[in-house]
Amino acid sequence: MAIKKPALLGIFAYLDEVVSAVEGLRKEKVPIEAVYSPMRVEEIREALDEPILGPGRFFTLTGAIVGLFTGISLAWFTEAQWNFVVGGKPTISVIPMVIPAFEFFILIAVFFTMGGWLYLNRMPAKRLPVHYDKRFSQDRFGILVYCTDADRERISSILKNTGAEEVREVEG
Amino acid sequence: MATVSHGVTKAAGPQNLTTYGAVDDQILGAMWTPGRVYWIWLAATGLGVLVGACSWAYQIATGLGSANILHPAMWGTYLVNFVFWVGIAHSGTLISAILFLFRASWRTTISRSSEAMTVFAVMIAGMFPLIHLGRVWLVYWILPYPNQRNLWPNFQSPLVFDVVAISTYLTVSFLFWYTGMIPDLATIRDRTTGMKNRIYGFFSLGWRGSNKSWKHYGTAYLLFAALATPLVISVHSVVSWDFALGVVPGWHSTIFAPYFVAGAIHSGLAMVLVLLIPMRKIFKFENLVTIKVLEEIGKTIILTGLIVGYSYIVEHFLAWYSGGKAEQDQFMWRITGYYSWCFWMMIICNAVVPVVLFFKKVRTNIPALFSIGILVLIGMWMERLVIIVGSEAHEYDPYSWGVYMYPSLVEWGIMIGSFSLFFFLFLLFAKFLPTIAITEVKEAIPVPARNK
Repeated sequence: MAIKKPALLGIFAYLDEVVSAVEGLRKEKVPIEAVYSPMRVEEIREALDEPILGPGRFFTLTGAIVGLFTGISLAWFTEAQWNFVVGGKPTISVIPMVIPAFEFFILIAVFFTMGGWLYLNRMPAKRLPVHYDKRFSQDRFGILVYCTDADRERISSILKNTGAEEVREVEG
Repeated sequence: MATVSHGVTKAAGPQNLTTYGAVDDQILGAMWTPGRVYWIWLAATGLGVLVGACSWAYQIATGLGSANILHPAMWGTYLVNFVFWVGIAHSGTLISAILFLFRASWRTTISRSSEAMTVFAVMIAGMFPLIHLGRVWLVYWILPYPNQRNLWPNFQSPLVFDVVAISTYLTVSFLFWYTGMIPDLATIRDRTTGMKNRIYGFFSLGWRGSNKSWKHYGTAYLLFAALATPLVISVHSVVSWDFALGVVPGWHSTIFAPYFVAGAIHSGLAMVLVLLIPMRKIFKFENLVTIKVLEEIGKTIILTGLIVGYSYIVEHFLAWYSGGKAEQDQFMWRITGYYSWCFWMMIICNAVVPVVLFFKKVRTNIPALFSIGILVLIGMWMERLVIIVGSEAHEYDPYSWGVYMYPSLVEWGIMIGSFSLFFFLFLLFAKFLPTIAITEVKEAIPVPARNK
C-alpha cells in the first residue's frame, strides 16, 4: 500500500490563474505532483514545460514491429503448409503477404498503444485518489503539491495569491 | 491574459456556449431526458430489428434457398449490403482521424457520432458474410487455428484479406471511439450517483484528468488517428479487391481501390447528414452542429462526388480502350440492359445531384442537404448493385447469362433489419453515451480567464 503523503490541493476557476500558480511554484522550485483540468490545455503543458508527446509512442512502435512480423509469419507459415504448386509458381507468394502484414501491423500497434496508454496512466484504477475533486472533470482546475510542515504556509500562500478559490490539506 | 483561441473558426465552432458547465449541461442533458419522438423511433427500429432477426432465423431453419440468390448472380443483396455498410463506416474515420490530423476544426462536434456510426456500420457489414454463409455456425473455419488435417485459410485469397481487414477495422474503430470517450465517461461519472455512477465509473477506468493523464491521452489519440488513417484507406481497397482480383468483366480493374474508397466516403458523408440533421433537431444541438458544419460536409460531398463521377467515366473509357469484347459488352449492358435503371439512378444520385452543392444556398439549406444525403445513399446502394450483381449476371459466356430478379421476402426482412439495427444502435448510443465529445467542445470554446 502506498504511503500517504501530506499535500496541498489548490482549486481554481480560471485558467490564467492556474498557469500563474504553476509558474509561481516552479519559480520557487516547488515540485508539482499533478495539475487537473477538464480537458487538454496547451497552456498548462507549456507552463509545466512538458513534451508534447509522451513515451506511449514507443509502445506503438514495438507493437507495429511485432504486428508486421506476425502477419508475415502467419501468411508464410500457412502458405508453406499447403504446397499447392500452380503453373510452376512459387508456393510462398510475397505480394499477397503485404495485406495480412499491413493489417496485423496496424492491429497489434493499436493494441500496444492502448496497453501502453493504460499502463502509463495506471488504469484501470478501482478507486480515485482521495484528494480527487469531482469538479475537475467539469469546470475547475486543480494543483496538487506535496508539502512538509515547514513549507506548507509558503505553498499555500502561492496558491492563494495566484487566485485559488480554495486551498485544502489532503493526503496525496 | 487574453482569451485563448484553440484554432476553431467561430462559425464552425460551438455557438452560445461560454462556460464549461453549460457545455456539460447541454450535451449531457440530451442523455437524461429524450422526448417522445425518440421513443417512437426506438420502438419502430426495434421492431425492424425483430423482423431482421426472424428473417435470418427462417433462413437458417430452411436454408439459403429462401433467398432469391441463384446462378449466375450468387452474391445478391447480401454482398451489396456488405459493401454498402463497409462504405458507410468510412466517413466516421475520415471525420475523426483524417480531419483530426489535418486540424479541420469543424469536425469537433460531429466526430463522436461519426465514430459511433463507423462502429455500428462495420458490425452490420460484418454480419452479411455470415448471413450469406448459410451455415453460420461454421464461420470459425475461416480463422487460422491448428487442426488435425493441417488445413489453413488461404492468405493469398482476397476473401481472407477481407476477414483480416474488416476485423482489424472493427477492433481499431471501437478502441479509437472508446478511448476518445473515456474523459467524457468520467465527466458523467462525476455528475451521477448510485448505479449510474458505478457503471460509468467502471467504464471510465478511473480517469483523473491530471496533466499526465492528458499527455498520455493526447499521444495515444494522435497515434490512433495516425494508424486509423492508412487503415481506413486499406479496408475499402481490400473490399474492392474482392472484385478486382476476380477475372470478371466489370470487376477486373486497377482503379477499383481509389474508386471504392471515394465512393465509401461519399456514402458515409451522406449518412452523416441523414443522421445528424434529425439529431441536432431532436436534441436541440443547433448551436453545436451548426449550419457551417453541415456546409463543410456538403463541400466534402462535392469532392467525393466528383471523384466518383470521374471514376464512372474512367471505368467506361477503360472498357472501350481495353479492346476486350466481354468488358465492352458488360459496360454497354450496364447502360442499356436489365439493370440500366439502377445504373442511371447511380449516375444521377452520386455524380449529378451533388453538383448542386456548389451553390451556397443549397449547401446551407437543411431540407436540401437532408434530401441530397438520402439521394446519395440510394445512389451508392445502386452502385453496389450495378457492380456486384450486374457484373455476375453478364459474364463471358452468353449461355450462362442471367439476372437476379428481385430480393425474396427473407432478403427484404434482413435488409430492413440491418438498417433498423443501425438506427436502433445509434439511438441507444444517443441515450446512454455523449453524442458530442464534451472535452473537445470545451477545448473549442474560449477558456475561462479572469484577466481577459
